[in-house]
Parts: sequence; C-alpha cells; structure tokens
Amino acid sequence: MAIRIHLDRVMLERGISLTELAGRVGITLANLSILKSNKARAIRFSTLDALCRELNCSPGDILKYDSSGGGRSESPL
Amino acid sequence: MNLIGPKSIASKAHLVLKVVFILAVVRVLLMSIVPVLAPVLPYRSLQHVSFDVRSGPLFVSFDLLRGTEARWWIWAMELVSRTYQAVVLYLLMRILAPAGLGEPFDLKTPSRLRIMGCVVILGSVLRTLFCAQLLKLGLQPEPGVWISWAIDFDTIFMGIVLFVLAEVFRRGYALKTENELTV
Repeated sequence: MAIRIHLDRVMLERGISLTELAGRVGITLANLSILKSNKARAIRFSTLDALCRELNCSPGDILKYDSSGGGRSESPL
Repeated sequence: MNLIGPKSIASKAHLVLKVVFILAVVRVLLMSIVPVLAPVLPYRSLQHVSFDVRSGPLFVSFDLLRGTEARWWIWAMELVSRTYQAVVLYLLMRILAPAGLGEPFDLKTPSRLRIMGCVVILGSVLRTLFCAQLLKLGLQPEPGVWISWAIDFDTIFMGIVLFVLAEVFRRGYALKTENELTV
C-alpha cells in the first residue's frame, strides 16, 4: 500500500511515548503498534480524530501518500 | 447456552463428532479386514450389509450373494462409502473445532469445506458406478429394494452447496482479518 504512516516522527516531535498516546487516544497498545508499523489495513475516523487531537496535528502530518514505495494494492475480499 | 465459543453447543458437538469419528474409523478398519477373516468368520454373522442408495436405506442379504462376484462389489462399495463418511466426519470435526473456541472463521475452514464438497460428489459418483456394476452382474435385489445407476443429483447438489459455503467462509475470514487490522 502506498499510504505511509509517520506516527513515530510526529510522536518524536511531540515527545510522547506509544504507551502514553495509546492511553490518551483510548486504543490498545497493540493496535497503536500495528498502526505505527504500517501493518494496519484501515483507520477509523474516530481514531484519526483522537490522534490529531492528542498530537495537535492534521491527518496529513500522520498519513502520507508515497507512490514510489507502492507495492501491490490489496483487495478487501 | 451459546452456540459458538468455549463451553458452547459447538464445543460439545466437536467432542461428540470426535467420538463418532473414532467409531467410524474403527468401522472402516473392521470392514477392511472382513475379507481376511472371511474363511474363519461365518457370513451369517454379517447377514445383512446395509448401504444407502439415493433416498432410502438399502438392505442386501449377504447370504444370497455368497460365492458371487457381486459380494465383493458390495463389500467394496460399503468400504468406500464408510471411508468417505469417516473423511466427512473428520472434516466436520475440524471445522467445528475453531467454532468451539469462539473463532468460526478460520483460515483453513474454506479449504476443508471444499474438500468435503469434493468427497461428497466423488462418493456419489462412485456409488452410482458401484450400483451400475451390481446391475451389470445381474444382482437381483430383495423385494422392496431398489438399485439404480441413476446419478444422485441430491448429493451432487449438496456438494455444490458446500463449495458455496466455502466461499462464504473465505469471505468471512477476509472480513475478520480486515476488521482485526482496523484501528
């Protein structure tokens, strides 16, 4: 997938740990880790909303479209 | 009581199927050694061999067939029929195992259902071929017994339904994975 998550960079800039962010956003550490390591297939608007609120950023700071590092797009079914 | 999950009907059914499967395997093993025991074991103890043809149970007297070629065809037909029943029981048991753990959509369930569909269709075709062979040998069934070489469309349809179910479970597993990777 060509969508890249730059959560680690934003977290580093804000000086917040994964555990702390998971607690503030209200999702499990495992799920936040899946998101951070680019393994997630989808993200809920509510999660994105909470991440942007806690990190004081916009969705574009976290999600980036990288056409070069595409790989194959996976069909949902 | 829940239908799916630990201590549910699915987990109890899995245990029951395990026992039934073991009995089915024992039955197949006993069936396969019958020819070996034939000179020792009087056929009277196995007076009737039962097998299913189309909708109703079919009983053919083993005594009537003693010494004929048809006897071996019936034995082979019974053995194949019981073997494929045991295979279907095994697959059903494996399909119910994840459901008993509360995860009905398992990665291997679709392939198991497809194999079950193949086995059911193949079993039906084999039974038809056996019946055709029995008729060729001039087997005269007992009154009320019907042997036909007609293709068993009911069973073939059931096999096709199993293929459809396999696709349903495949999509269910894909949706489950999708859901698990949604944060």
